[in-house]
Amino acid sequence: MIGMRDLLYLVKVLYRETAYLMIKSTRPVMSPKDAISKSKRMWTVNILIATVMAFILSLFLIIVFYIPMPESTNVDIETLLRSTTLSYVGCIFLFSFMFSTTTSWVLQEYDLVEPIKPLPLSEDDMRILILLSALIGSIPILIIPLIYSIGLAIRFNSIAVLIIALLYGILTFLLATGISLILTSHIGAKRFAGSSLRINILRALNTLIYVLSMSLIYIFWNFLSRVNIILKHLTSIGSGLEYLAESLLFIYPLSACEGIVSGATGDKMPLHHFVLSMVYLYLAYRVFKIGSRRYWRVLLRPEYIGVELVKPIKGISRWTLDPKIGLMIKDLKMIYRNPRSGYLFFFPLIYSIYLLISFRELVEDPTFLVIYSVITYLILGFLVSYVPYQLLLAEGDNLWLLFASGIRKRDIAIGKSLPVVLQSSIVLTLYSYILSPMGVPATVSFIFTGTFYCTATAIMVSTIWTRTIGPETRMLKMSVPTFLLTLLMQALMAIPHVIVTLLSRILPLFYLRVLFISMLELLIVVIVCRLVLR
Amino acid sequence: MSVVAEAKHVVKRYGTITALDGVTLELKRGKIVGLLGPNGSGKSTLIKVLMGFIPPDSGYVSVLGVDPYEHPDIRAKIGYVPEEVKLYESLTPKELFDLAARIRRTDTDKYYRMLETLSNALDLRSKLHNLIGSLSKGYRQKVAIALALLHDPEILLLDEPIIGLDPIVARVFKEILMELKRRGKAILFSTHILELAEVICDRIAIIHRGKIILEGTRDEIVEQARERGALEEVFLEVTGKRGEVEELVKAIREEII
Repeated sequence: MIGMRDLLYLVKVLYRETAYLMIKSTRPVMSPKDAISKSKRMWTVNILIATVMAFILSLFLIIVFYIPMPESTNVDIETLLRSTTLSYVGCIFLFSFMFSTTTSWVLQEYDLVEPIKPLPLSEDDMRILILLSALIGSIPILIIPLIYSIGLAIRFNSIAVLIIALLYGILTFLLATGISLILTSHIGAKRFAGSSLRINILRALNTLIYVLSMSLIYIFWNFLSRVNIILKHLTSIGSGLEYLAESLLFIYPLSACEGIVSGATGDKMPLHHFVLSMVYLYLAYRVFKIGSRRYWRVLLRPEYIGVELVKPIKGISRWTLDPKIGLMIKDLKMIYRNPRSGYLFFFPLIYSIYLLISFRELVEDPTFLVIYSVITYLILGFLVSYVPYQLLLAEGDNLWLLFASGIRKRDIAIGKSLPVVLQSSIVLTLYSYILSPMGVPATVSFIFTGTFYCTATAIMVSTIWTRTIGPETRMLKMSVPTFLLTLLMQALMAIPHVIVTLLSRILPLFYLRVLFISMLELLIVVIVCRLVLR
Repeated sequence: MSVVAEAKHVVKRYGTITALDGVTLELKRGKIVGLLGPNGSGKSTLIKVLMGFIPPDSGYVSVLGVDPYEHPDIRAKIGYVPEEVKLYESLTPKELFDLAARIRRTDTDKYYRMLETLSNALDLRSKLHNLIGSLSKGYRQKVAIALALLHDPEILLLDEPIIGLDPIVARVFKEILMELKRRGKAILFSTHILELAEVICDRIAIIHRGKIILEGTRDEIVEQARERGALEEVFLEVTGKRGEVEELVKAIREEII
């Protein structure tokens, strides 16, 4: 069995390797010595940033209990405890899930464990090493339960609340990382190699499961923000349903709220809540164990299903003989086969379903519709503009292939933005249902305006990122200045739309004006892209 | 024979390390140049400079009449096999070839014919529709070679292409290279296998610490080899490694026995 010191050293090596790949990709001329020293610092800096972020988040959660509430605020302490606990559980879940998914994906995709495999490590050692490496980015999140539970214990002078809050924090962390590892291993484990009907169905199911799981995280988050309304609604319906509402309070994550309220306001240890939290901790541990076992198995032994035999060779259509189209076809295939590599591509589609459910009854107020339409595509534009970034990231260390074939950087920038045309036009067509009271021309114009705007922002962001890549790039690095630059450019592109929207009452045919603006922006962005990139 | 690619007095530095130190090399139509050198001697850097992947710090590089770094689209006329082959694991070889054909805008009929011929010659036919991730290292190497040849390039820049190939395919590949040479293609072939260079190359250049320390026709180099006993001896002599190797061999013998 390997010692803890050696184990942590190996985890550090794996983390440094990732940092080194990123640094060498963005600064290929940097000497190996400087790159190594910088990657050593990156480990410390990243852990520090995550720790500070978790610390600030914890302070935000606990501070409400330490500042005097204005008298006009009609919120009792129990409601406050419930709502902050839901945010507490939600934050831990969301951030642990995100960090764990990203790190586990990078480990798997870049085969970072490969050089360690020949070392004389037992399976248990490898298991702990892989798990620690996958979760190292999420560990600072554990500061949140620590600060939140201590903060509550001091404020309410209760050991019971300390124990219950800590237990729910840890179990949420285990649950989120466990689910993330199950999902990652599920997608990574079954790589469908062939193209028979059975394999095609399995592949489609695999992608569908991942997309649905993503929406489950989103639904969970939404559920947390609406849980009080749902409970009130249930109790107001009629007799009999109060029992259902009461029993719901024992189900996680509502049990966390009730446990913490009971621990904070009760006189003695709420034994049944303590037992319940222990049961949930055990269940979360089981989920985590299943996830970790599946993940390390996949990492050590990925399996391919449905190996294909000889099939006739088909030629390619002349219509697709273009680098941009070639890139788009390839990216869509890769997103479909490995949805982790482009989850932003699916996210707006999931959001559109939620939006359509929320707006079952159409609102006919013209001011609302105008503002809604513009806000919708501006937000969508912001979201989908990072699809090209994700697609560039998904290139991994294969960029040499594109460059060796003679592709120009401007073709990469535009080619990586083309999936956004498809995605935004589908999503905006779904969204346009809500705008139907505005009439057909305005609704159709909205779809086109949004698609042009989303494509323009995607090309703009893609141009900025494509500038930083080359044939030697092995891992794309999101630097803070570049990220800020993309935000600034997006804000600049949004300004004309916002101005016209504000003047929509006095401007006739408002929707045609924004359509014109978006077309103009798209044209300018394409010209800039061609000028900036070779 | 016309020169199709050349590097003149090329210098390339990475921080304090000088990877190429005034390298001059020419590639001509219908000729195979073998690039020999120990690990870290600058072979791969020279090929990357010729590909236009990295710009030289000083010196002149021209491929088919243009600077490949400034004109990346010229690479559509070059076939390249890197030292370390990395491919999209979630694509099939066929999908990868299609992607390259679209980027290079290869004529569809020509592409189809080349794909048929090469997939049979390189024993890739049964693997064309499998995910690359499921292929062995040898098959991935074959995919990389096919990718470099599918568009019938003018120039071939091959960085250790034989590694990982089984003897049958390695033999076929040698024959393909000889045929391409007959058809007037210019080929730069970096290798560690001295016997292979001796057999297929028209010219041989030995690179060491970023400098071409010996260059000549195969006959000239082979003549030197005959005087010293083998090409390996010429290699050790000019790279100054003979003493080092003898020391190492001695140390190993003493340690083991």
